[in-house]
Amino acid sequence: MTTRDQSLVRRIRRGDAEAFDELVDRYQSPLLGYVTGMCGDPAAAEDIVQDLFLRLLHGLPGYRERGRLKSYLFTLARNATLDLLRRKPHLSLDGRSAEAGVGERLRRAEPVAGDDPQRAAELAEDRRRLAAALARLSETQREVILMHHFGGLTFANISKLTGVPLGTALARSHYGLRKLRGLLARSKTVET
Amino acid sequence: MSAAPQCPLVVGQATLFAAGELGVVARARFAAHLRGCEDCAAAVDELAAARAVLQSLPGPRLSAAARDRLSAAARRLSVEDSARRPTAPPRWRLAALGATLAAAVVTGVMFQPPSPLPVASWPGPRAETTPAPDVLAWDPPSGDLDQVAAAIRDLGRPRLASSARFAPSFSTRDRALVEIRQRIERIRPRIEGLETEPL
Repeated sequence: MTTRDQSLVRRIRRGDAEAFDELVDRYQSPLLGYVTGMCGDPAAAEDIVQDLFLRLLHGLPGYRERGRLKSYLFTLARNATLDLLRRKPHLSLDGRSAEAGVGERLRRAEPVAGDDPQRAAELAEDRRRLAAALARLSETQREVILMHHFGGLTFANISKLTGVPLGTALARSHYGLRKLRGLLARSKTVET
Repeated sequence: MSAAPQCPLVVGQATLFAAGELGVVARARFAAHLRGCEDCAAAVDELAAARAVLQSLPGPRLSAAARDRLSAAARRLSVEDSARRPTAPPRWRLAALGATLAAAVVTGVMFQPPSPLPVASWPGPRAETTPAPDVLAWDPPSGDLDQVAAAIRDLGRPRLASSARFAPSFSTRDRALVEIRQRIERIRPRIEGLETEPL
């Protein structure tokens, strides 16, 4: 666990509610980016992440400070997401075409870029295109890419967390990113 | 996408290099390799470009309503915790308690009765500070009463009463009992020796 995380966890244990707000600030984007990218439903992703933070809050007294907090949070997020996809298979992005409304659902999660409407529109377009491209990757490739890029997890951590050898995690990222870039380049060419 | 690369380092090393996850030595070695390997150089460029696209987008954030709910839950739990948590006594109270206990111990050691104490006059432990049964179960042996009385005097008779009076908590009482028990154990050989000596 990083020193910052340790400090936050200890403050939360002492009943410091502001420390919990800081922890949420620190991890909401990585977790929400990962879960939204995996299930493609922003509302369901928000429910999962919210529930995850609540579980952390109530479980902290018994939480043993071993390993990184981020890995622990991603383990919880991954389990909850896989559980959701098992219960509601229609949410899975696998087997859908990018044009079948997946990008539309993901687009609802995009942030507003300040007061600049043009920038916000560009961001929205980029996100839609990225969401559509991500949706065309295999679930395993998408998972590694989301964990690495949104979560900031190292490949060694991803390998442990997903239970696959390091080489497999690297290969998934490598081929997934190459495919993603190809898809993004193609979508831009088609639109222009 | 380019044609399938041939270099065996393209997948693992190039990915780790582009992600900045190679160690110093491995990174320097792979950088040297890159200068002569077109496959790896192309792969690193491609991966870096893909990473740049992903990183250019801000991450999503929880809605204000969700943030509020989490914040409220943390504050509620914080209030419940503080209600459950016993309030620590102020330091001055701890210091006063410590001084009182020290005074009680010193009083017990220094102000012992000058004359031999008849066994019958020993009031015994106060009712409300009844110690553990194994301490009371000791039955003073019959024999030379003066010697038994002297042994008991060594025990530091007022200790339990004064400690218990000034600091009536169970832990204090238990500590006093343990001390008495240790003293009994210390004088036990002397008392047991009385039984074998001819009267």
